[in-house]
Amino acid sequence: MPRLRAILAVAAFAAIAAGAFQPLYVRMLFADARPMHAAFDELPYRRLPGLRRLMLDVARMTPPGARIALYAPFNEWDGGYGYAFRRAPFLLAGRRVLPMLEPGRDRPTARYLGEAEYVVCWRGCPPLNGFRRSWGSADGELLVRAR
Amino acid sequence: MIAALVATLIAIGAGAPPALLLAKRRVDPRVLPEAYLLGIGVEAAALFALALCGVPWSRASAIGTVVVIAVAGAIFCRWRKRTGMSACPPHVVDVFTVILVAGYARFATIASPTDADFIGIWGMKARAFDAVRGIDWTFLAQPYNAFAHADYPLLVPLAYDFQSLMAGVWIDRWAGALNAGFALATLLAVRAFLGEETRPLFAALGTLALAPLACSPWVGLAEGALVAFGTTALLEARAGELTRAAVLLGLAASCKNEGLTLIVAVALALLIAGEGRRVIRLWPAIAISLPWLIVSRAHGLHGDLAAGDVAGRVLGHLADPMPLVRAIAANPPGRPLFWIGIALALAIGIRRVVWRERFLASAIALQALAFLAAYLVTPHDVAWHVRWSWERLLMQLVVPLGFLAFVSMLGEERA
Repeated sequence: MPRLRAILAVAAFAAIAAGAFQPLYVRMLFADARPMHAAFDELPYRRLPGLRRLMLDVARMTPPGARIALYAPFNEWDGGYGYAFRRAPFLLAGRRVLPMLEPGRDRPTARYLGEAEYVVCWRGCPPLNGFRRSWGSADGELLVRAR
Repeated sequence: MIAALVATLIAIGAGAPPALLLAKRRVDPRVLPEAYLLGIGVEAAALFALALCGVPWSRASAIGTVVVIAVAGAIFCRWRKRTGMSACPPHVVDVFTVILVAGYARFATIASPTDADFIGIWGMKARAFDAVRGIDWTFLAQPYNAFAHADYPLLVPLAYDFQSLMAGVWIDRWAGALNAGFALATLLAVRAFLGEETRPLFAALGTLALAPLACSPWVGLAEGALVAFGTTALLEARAGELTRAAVLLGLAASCKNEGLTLIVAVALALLIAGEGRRVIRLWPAIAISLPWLIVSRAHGLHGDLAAGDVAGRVLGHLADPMPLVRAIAANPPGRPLFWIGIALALAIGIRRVVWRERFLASAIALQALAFLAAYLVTPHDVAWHVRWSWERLLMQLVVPLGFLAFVSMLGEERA
């Protein structure tokens, strides 16, 4: 009986160790960092190509503390807009990012547009009164409040 | 990298006095990992205190406050007479654990963390605070930023900010350095506790087996910190060191709300283990976690779980539990071999689990029940909520569970 128990204990230990093992952590010791670095940087933004580059460009062109409304051509929060809105403040640190779609209600809102100094649009901007185009690229546009 | 190392050394330096003073033994291998964990808590507390006092963060103000808190902490923890030694001789098998952690450290720091919750919660808060050199209450209070879980405690974002202050610049990828530090601290603590239970070879093998579980794949999130604080707290409480456990529990509760339920789980587990009169000694856990609870409520920050008709949601889910059951069934926690091994080990050592390890087994089970209770309260679609959190939550408990499995078997083998 003690012998059987010892065998079972060894089997249990082996199962725990094998089940917990994460080969990735060993492979990482020999992995080439450069391609992984580039791929990982883009990974969290892959569903909206160019979003990361656009936000980094906007961060360079706007001052700290700027209030920036975010436009993305989606009518559903969970269907695309939220994806952009949840990521934008990380890349636009120090700026206030304002929504143009009501969270959870899936309808456009101009509620925060009045306090916005800029509007950043992924891909392209719709016509917006009171703003003029300041910069653009294939990834999107930046509008600035017209004086 | 230098900033991450400097922040680590400051953490160990700041945490060493309280860790030494809380230790009962003259030589205690648990002091080093606990010094790191306490030190990270001190760094976060320093930035929190500065923000509350309206003092803008700077390298000098942060380090100065850390020194003040560390000295105050050392004075507060009364000098106690320490006797005996807890030897934990290294074993050649430990080299493999170090290699594994080195691989994990490379994985965690190779690029900016990719998890959506780092971008949208933990990292985003840290960056927002870093930009204004303080806690941006306006940012947290905006209803449209509710997705960032403004009510979550701030230890982890503030630890990122401390590192950023040391660097003088925000570098995304070095958030992962903290994950590596937490993993190493967890494993050093587990190794020390196993070393007290069994021979160095078995202790080293047990630690190696549990190493991948301490290395949280959710880089940049608070899970790694919670695993480190929670596991060490549970093992300290199991060893009867309730003051040390309480301090670590308080820090766990400063990482994520699950840390609060862990305090309750430990208190109830003490009652189940017949140690009810000692529950009062957990007061430091409440004292450490209370300031954030007060300040966040004062700023009107509330979580989604407590919003609306909580009782109605609980009754609704209890009346029709099948969606929750189906969601749990559809999202198994993965690693089937690991769970088979755990079940087998607990079955082998069932007598010890029920009698000698009643505290640890109860605490783990109660915390798992608290995870399930959150699904009864959730205002979200339960299938969605389970899908995106169940495995991650269970991973908070797998290291103490693995420890329980090992010591249960060891006990039976001795018998």
